[in-house]
Amino acid sequence: MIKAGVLDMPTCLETMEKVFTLVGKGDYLMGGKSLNSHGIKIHFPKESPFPGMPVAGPDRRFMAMVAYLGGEFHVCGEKWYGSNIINPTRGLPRSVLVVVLNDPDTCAPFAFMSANLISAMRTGAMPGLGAKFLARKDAKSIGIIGAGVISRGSLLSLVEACKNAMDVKVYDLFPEKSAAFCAEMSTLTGRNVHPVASLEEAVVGSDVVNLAAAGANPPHIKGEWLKPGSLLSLPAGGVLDEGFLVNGADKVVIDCWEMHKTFFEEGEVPLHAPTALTSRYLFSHIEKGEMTEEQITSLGDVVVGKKPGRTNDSERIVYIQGGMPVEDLAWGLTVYKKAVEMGIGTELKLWDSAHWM
Amino acid sequence: MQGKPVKFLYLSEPEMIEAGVLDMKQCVQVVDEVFHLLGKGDYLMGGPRENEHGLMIWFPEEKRFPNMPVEGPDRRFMAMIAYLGGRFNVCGEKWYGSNIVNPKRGLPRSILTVMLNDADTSEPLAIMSGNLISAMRTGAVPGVAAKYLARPGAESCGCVGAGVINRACLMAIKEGVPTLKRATIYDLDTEKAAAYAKEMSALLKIDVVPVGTLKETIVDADVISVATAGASKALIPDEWLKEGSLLTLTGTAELADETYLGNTVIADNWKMHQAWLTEGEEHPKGVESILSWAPSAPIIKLILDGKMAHEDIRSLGDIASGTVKGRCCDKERIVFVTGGMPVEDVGWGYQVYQNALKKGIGQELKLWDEPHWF
Repeated sequence: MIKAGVLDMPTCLETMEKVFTLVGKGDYLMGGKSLNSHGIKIHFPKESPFPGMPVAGPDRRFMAMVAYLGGEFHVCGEKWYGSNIINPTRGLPRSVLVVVLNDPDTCAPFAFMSANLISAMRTGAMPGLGAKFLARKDAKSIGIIGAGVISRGSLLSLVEACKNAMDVKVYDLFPEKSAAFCAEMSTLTGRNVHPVASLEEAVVGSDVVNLAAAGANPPHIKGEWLKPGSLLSLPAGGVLDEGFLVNGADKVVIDCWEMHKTFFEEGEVPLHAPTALTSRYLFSHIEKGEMTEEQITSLGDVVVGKKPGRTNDSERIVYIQGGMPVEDLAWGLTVYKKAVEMGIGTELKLWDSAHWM
Repeated sequence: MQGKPVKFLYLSEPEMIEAGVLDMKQCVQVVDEVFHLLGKGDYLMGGPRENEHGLMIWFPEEKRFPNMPVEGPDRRFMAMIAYLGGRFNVCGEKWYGSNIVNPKRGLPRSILTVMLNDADTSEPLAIMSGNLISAMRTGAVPGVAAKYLARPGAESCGCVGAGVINRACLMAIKEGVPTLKRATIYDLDTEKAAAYAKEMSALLKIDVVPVGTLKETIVDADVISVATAGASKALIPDEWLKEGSLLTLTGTAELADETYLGNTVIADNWKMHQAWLTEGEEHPKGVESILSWAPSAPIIKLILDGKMAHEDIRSLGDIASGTVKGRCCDKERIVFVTGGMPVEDVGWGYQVYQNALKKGIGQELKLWDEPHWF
């Protein structure tokens, strides 16, 4: 996957723009009757009488995310993964992911791929794609909160989108993690990536703020810290001031509102859990009548020009991402095609001729 | 910290066969174990209700974009996920797509893969060709049902539909009912029925006879196995079902309301069927959205009409694990409905994977020597 270019952020970012053009046009399908399900999850119980049964924990789950994506991609497939937050202590990433690609017509699989980097890169590309349409054109500074894998990808895409942002501030609860991140990313991006001592410092004065911190206690970003004209990008859970999305933000953009609605209808968004997607705030506001769905903009609509992105230099925009299986399929397929071109990978057979037809 | 290498086993269909995927005796044993675990509650399936069949890509009725697939019979992609406890202690998934025109191009209607993952670390353990796992476990379910629900001493089996699934069903029913002496087969396609009879007689060493009418295959049968695909459903009037018979529905049949209302109804796992109903109730188009395809739709309709209650329907897992009684007497007629569950794929897939490990079958593949990012 690495040889075939899975870590190539400029191409990944271009690919995500194609994806959201298709999403804006409606040339995609995801799971369930709404055609917009994020995925299906195994929920582990809080406690279990069975010794072997996994129990609930932060980010503890298995999930299958299924989709069809049209346009030049024309592919069906899925991402299947499990997560356990203690994995890093045993030399494994928190999540272990696989992507399967299938011919939409015959349904035959044509690729099984290690998907940790597909997922990290497509997730990382989304803040950059958002910033292209939603950040100030002259954005000079970026605040990065969380020094993990998603932040690496996010920063790689943000520097593509914000060509003039030379100053990158990084905050993580663990200073040694920030330091390592800054050293690596300064070299990779050629920008001045440096650690700051507090969450507030990372946010105040930044034109773009990206929050990607995992764990049970996501940071609280205070509205007053966000300067006019800023973009707050939320690829993961986070805590905002109560009411900020109604009273503080000038515009709320989301990767795909229909998908988040399905999340909510399926009972997958625990409204009051701080680790839940930040779209939980939108549901509360709508439920209380403080907001209408029309006030929420889906990114696909912005990319195809159905709805405006940033309209002036003083708007404070909040951009919420939930992640979509169409992103995994598109990036997976792009890397697969490159691999075929380069003759990389192990060819496997399902059968020479099916045993039973 | 040093990253850990992750390797898994790839098993193609020929390798699955070598590892024993077609061994119905073992498959019935494993699926029986799965139902025991279901009865105990030592399993999880998808969704907040922990009992969802799976997540499906629905193709739209109308042509929306030139290349976007459209709806058709059995046209779908589906991910079915589960955790299975006990000695299995494994998570896994079956992922498949179906297209009814596939056989014309030399492919099975559905193409399936099964993946198994370490329940704790989430590492993949195996990626396997899933067609035979799925066919065998589907067949094994009526076999397990027959083990617990057929009249003691049952001798005859009536098979409706001469396809792959009913081959597997009859193999399993023979395992579940050792007293079985004969079977009849009915299919609209008489050539298919004749081929089925010949093949299954030789395989099971019992008389399997093709019959010319649906009625002939039903009236004399102690156990009936309906496994048909496609739009035409077998219409089975109530009076055809003899005393003490067990009717297993792996495909759908058209039964009289009185057959459901006047007899014992047992499901593979009624909670899963309830999850379908809940899904329908929450859907913008309402319950209608599930009635066209849910295998338990006739029962759900009777419940919605107030003629039956959820409590009237027992689940096979509860019977297998002994918490709920099965057959009450030799005269009782029982209808058994199935929806198919990912725990069955995970259970049977895991067993074949274990067999493959022991025999050194399959191709070891690596996900990574060391994760690039963690």
